[in-house]
Amino acid sequence: MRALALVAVVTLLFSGHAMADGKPPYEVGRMKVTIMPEYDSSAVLVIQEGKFADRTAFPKSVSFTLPKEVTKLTDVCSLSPGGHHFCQLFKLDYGAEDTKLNIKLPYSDFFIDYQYAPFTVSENSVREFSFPLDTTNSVKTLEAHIQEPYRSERFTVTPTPVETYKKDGFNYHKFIFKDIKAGERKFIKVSYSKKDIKPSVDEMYSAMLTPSLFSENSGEIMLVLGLATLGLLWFFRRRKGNAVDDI
Amino acid sequence: MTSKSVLLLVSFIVVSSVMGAKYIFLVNAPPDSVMGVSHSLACPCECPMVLEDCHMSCGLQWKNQIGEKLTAGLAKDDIVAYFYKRYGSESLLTPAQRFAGKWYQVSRGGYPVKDMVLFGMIVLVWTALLNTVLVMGKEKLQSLTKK
Repeated sequence: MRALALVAVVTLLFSGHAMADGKPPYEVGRMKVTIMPEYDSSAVLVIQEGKFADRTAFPKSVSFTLPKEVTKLTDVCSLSPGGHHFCQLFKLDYGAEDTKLNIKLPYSDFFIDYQYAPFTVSENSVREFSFPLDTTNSVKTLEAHIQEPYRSERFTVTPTPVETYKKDGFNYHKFIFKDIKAGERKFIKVSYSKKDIKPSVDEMYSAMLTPSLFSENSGEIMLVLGLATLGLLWFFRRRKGNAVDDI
Repeated sequence: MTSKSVLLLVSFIVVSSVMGAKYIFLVNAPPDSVMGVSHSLACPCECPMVLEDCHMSCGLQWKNQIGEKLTAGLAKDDIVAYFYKRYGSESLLTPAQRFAGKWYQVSRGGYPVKDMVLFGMIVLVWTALLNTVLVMGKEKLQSLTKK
């Protein structure tokens, strides 16, 4: 009996430790995923936002699972009840099947924004991909919105969407999934063909771009130019020093 | 502090100030692009970011508005003026706010590590270069004074 009680206490302690340590899965109340193929680049832009059910448990460490073909993670942020945004430092673990995102969130609201490239674009080609919905944590209500790229033809999504609507000139297909268990595998298959390789939105008018520190190779050029000039100065100084020594 | 250290310190301050100012105040994107215009506006999401770095939904709404106005033919100054009239002075950035916003973007890891390393290397190399030039100038001056 004593041994049993001891085991129960140890189990409770460890489960409590796991909760405090931030080990997933947790429950997400609402989550919305917007998937925009070839929006402002040849990749697929994904915005994943939602709210964990237990808001009192934060701040804590949580995990998300992103597709393995992630090429750029732009933002991972949390939103305070007062409307303040806290974008966080994050850690990505690239695996063979997926990419794990580990992050400490100060508040239960989250916002993740990334690009991934499940296909390569070429003229007059069919683009197909199967988007894995993130079920690292259980989700009460998951909404997915798939944007049809401009100039796409024979656009199909599987399973059948609950609604198709227009917003800002784009066609969207909406899915709603209820009570998803952690680890449950859910995919949305997208297929369409396109004659050109241009994204829907010209880069000049894209709201999703972020500035880079250096335009194109200007950083590398500045570095090489500086090193070359430094090398030349060093060479001339040394030659001059030798000439003075010879005199 | 020796004169060598002073020259090195001056070189570092000058180079890092120039590089920092270039990153904070100059924009790479053309003025008729969303990035070019949003460089001049504050993020409306109650965070300290410059709009060009902001990817939150409230920031994206503003960027979409900029895109619509650019395609309608408005110039950068007209669009910035529209935001000032519509949202007041809070939509614009003071130099201090711009500095704070860009520092926030750096400190939250908003740029790839490769870019940050490159930035650091450029500062170091150009500091060494400026320091060498200053040392040479000082030596030249000393030799002229001796003559």
